[in-house]
Amino acid sequence: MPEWNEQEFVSRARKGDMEACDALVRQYQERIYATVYHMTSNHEDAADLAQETFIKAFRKIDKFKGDSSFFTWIYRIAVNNTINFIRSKRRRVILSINQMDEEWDRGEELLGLVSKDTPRQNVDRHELQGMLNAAMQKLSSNHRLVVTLHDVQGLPHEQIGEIMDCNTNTVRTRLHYARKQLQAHLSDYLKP
Amino acid sequence: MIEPNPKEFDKLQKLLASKKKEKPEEGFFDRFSDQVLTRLEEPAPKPTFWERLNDQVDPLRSAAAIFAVVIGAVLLFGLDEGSNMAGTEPEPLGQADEETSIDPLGQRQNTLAGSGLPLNKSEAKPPRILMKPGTGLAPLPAKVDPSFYQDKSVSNTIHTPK
Repeated sequence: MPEWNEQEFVSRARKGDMEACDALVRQYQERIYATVYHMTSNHEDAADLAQETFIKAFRKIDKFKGDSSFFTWIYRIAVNNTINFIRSKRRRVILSINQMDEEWDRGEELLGLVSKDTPRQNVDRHELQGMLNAAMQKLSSNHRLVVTLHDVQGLPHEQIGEIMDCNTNTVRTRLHYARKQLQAHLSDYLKP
Repeated sequence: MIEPNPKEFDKLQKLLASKKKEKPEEGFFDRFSDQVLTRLEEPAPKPTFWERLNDQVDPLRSAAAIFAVVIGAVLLFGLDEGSNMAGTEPEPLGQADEETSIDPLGQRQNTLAGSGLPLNKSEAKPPRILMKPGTGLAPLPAKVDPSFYQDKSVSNTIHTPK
């Protein structure tokens, strides 16, 4: 498999090479979709917003100056697009949650996280997944974003700072408060 | 807000990490790129006025320009007001136009301030001494010992104690 050369694909995409655009979409589609999905907790919205992100990026690719990686730049577009979308429909949050992987579905790992000493011990996997997504929706968009990028997608603080255009201390502080809020929302399930 | 319990926090992190396993239906990503490229080939919708403005104008520079214009306008207005004030004759104290002077207590309307009750006020004027200090007093000549002004420096008189 040939080595991935982002700069080359970007410069070809600038010239209107559709193959290069296709390669860039395939390279980042899962991460962009996942970010938007975890922010909205709605598959249809996430699919639409992820498509819009790539379309906007290719239409404005001349504005990409290469100060950051193309990955960070396109992430920023996705994040801004999603935050604007969330603000525009603040009161109409409809969850449309994807199924988990089959392998994970069969396992008991997720349910093993629920405390046996709480009244909620008989919760099923779907309910727990729904509760987590509902709790995520209660966070502010910035808090939800740091949790998504760090705890779900595993990005380092520095890269999240670049994407959110803030310093790493702000990222850490937001992460701390977001986790505390999530713990408070899910305390019935997570008590030790 | 309560401090996070480390055990709960560990569970929360595992729960959040499990969200990675939430995946769209099979084949979604195989079609995704084609859908993006198809939409990309469609003519772009005409940008709205705000979108065009946003594309063409750097928000930071435009904010700085607006700030500068506001400051300039305030300065111009301030200078203009200052020159107007300098152009008018200053009036001597106590002779300001009574019509234009403020009347915060409503005494001109013969009412008690704030109550609307009529003020039982005769047309009595304040004592003249308050209007022009010193008026109404008869001038008194100063009592000074004339010998005080006599030039004693040229005198050769020797004052000896008795």
